[in-house]
Amino acid sequence: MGTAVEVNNLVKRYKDLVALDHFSLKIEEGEIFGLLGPNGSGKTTTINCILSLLSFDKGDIQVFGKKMKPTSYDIKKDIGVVMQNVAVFDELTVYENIDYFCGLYIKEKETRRKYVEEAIEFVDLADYKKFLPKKLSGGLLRRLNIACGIAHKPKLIFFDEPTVAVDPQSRNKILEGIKMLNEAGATIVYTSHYMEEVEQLCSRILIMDKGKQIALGTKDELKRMIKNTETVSVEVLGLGDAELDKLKSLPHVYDAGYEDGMLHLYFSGGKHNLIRVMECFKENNISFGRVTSELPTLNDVFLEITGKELRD
Amino acid sequence: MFWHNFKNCMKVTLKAKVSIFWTLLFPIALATFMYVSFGNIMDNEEMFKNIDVAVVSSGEEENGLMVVIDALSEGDDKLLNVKEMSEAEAKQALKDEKVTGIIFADDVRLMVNESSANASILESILSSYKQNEYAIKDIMGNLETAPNEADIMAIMSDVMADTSYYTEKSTSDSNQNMYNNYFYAIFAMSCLFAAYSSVGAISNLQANESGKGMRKCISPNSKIVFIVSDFLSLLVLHFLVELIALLYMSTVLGIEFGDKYPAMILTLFVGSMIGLAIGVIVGAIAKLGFGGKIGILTAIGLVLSGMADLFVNGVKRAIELHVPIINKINPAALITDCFYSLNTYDDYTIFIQNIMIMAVESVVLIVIAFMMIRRNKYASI
Repeated sequence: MGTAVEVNNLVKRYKDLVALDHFSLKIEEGEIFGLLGPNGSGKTTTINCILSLLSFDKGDIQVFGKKMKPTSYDIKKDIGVVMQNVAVFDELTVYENIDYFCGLYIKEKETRRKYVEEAIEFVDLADYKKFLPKKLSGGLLRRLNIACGIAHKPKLIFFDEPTVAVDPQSRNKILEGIKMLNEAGATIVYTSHYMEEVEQLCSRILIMDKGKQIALGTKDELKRMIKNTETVSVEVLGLGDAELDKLKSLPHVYDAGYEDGMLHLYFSGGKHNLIRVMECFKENNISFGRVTSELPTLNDVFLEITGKELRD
Repeated sequence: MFWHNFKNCMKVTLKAKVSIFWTLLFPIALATFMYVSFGNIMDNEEMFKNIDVAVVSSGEEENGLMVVIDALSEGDDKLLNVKEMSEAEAKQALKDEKVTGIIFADDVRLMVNESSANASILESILSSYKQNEYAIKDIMGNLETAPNEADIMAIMSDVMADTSYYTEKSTSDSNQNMYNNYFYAIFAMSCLFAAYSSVGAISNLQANESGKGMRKCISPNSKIVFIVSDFLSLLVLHFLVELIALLYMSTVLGIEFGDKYPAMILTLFVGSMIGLAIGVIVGAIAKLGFGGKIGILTAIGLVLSGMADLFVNGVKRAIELHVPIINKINPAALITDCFYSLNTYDDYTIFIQNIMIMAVESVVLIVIAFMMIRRNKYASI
């Protein structure tokens, strides 16, 4: 397996705003690579630069080992893009739209017809082939948008926030579909500000903010980068300072907070942390309600590194 | 890919029913409106109807006015329809609008109710009579010997003779109805309006303007293929629209465009080409949004049409006097001149020259548009 995309030292400015600040990444063939960051962090700008749609001030971009230019047709034929906004012809039916965009890549009619049918089946739009886009719900439109981007069976597919404003059912179908595409051999670049999706889908994740790379690795590697390894939350009424101090002194607790009847204990490392908390409650005769133990999320990673929530 | 995009562009344009409806409706509706407005004046034979006039005469007048009036009210193509009446009857008839005017033969005087074309004709007859009468009297007064009857007739004949100092030579055998120029203007504007279709197609090729443009830009195809296939597809459609309009005007409205239909059809084809090419070049301006492009296109259309006299007369002539090169490159002027030359001359020199200029302009605009967007990377999307 070679390198699908390599970006080195990319700088993109919009007048005074630095959208990409010496940004680099390397995506290997066959992986699902996640670009995670809040709105305006530079995810879409990165993709548009890779696709040679946007000019940039500095840097170098290679796709499948070749320098990417607007006229790199030999590279472009292997790329598919599912863009953030639905981009289809309102005047054409579902079938006609997929057929048209597939036809920009596949000249042979029979092959194209087969690919279009497969794409329709893949996004589960067989019952809507003759529908005009305006007759489709938001979720179905998103699926049509995906079909238009992947019907020609590209080797490298960019998904730019494909699940924005999509109902949970359609979202799950989309994510399942992306996994299937990857299993069929496609390299996937997936951007989102939904950390759950990225966690669920991606083999490697790059977290970016303000046009810079914040962290890069698998989700476990990313979580290991931060201090927090577990957060135990307990519903408890009337917790005194002395009892709180006892809880804070438990092994591996590095921080604690008590507010509005909720106790949060933050652990860094250690095993059986929840059991130790329960034993402490029992020893001190503290009544408690609901108890939860959560492992760190990518949002915690983002929060700890940048000091702000991912969706800010 | 060329045919794939060609067919798709045609399909999308045809399915956008509103756009095709207005494109077709514009020339047909405007032509119908003009046809109804012009009414019978378009028919030359109907223009000159004899004028009802009352003549009040005592029968004892000492002038030859009655001779002139009688001469003008005889024959199949008589100019005047004379009704001799008493003064009171004549005034009543004038009041009831049964006559255009009253001629008082005794003192060579005219009375009309209001100014009109027919009243002007009557006034002109009397004015001409008075001038001739004065000239004859003046000549006879200067004679050394008293004129005999033969001299008098000779003098009268010389004075009354309508001598022409030039000969009329027709430039063409074709129909030269001046009102056709208005219908040519409709074709010219309709051709220029084709630009609105192509500006939309080219905007759909720009990644910074539409998602569809983005999809096209990331596909492995040269932009010239998109530009040319979209252009030719729209050209076929607009040419058909122009042909339908021509068919409607000539068959339904019965407007006579002469016998040079092949040349007219060529003009409509090349006119559609230049109209679409203008849309292509405006559509290729990457830094403008779609709304801005439509605004620029509207301004261009109005300026070009205005300079070609499509709104008011005289501008084109002023340009011809001061900056004639503009008339040589203004597509609106070139299209109307093509029609005008077909309507006026049997010679095709001006026509061919204008067709060539428009064809070259179209190609140049498309090539420039391609140069503008072929390797475009956008500053922002």
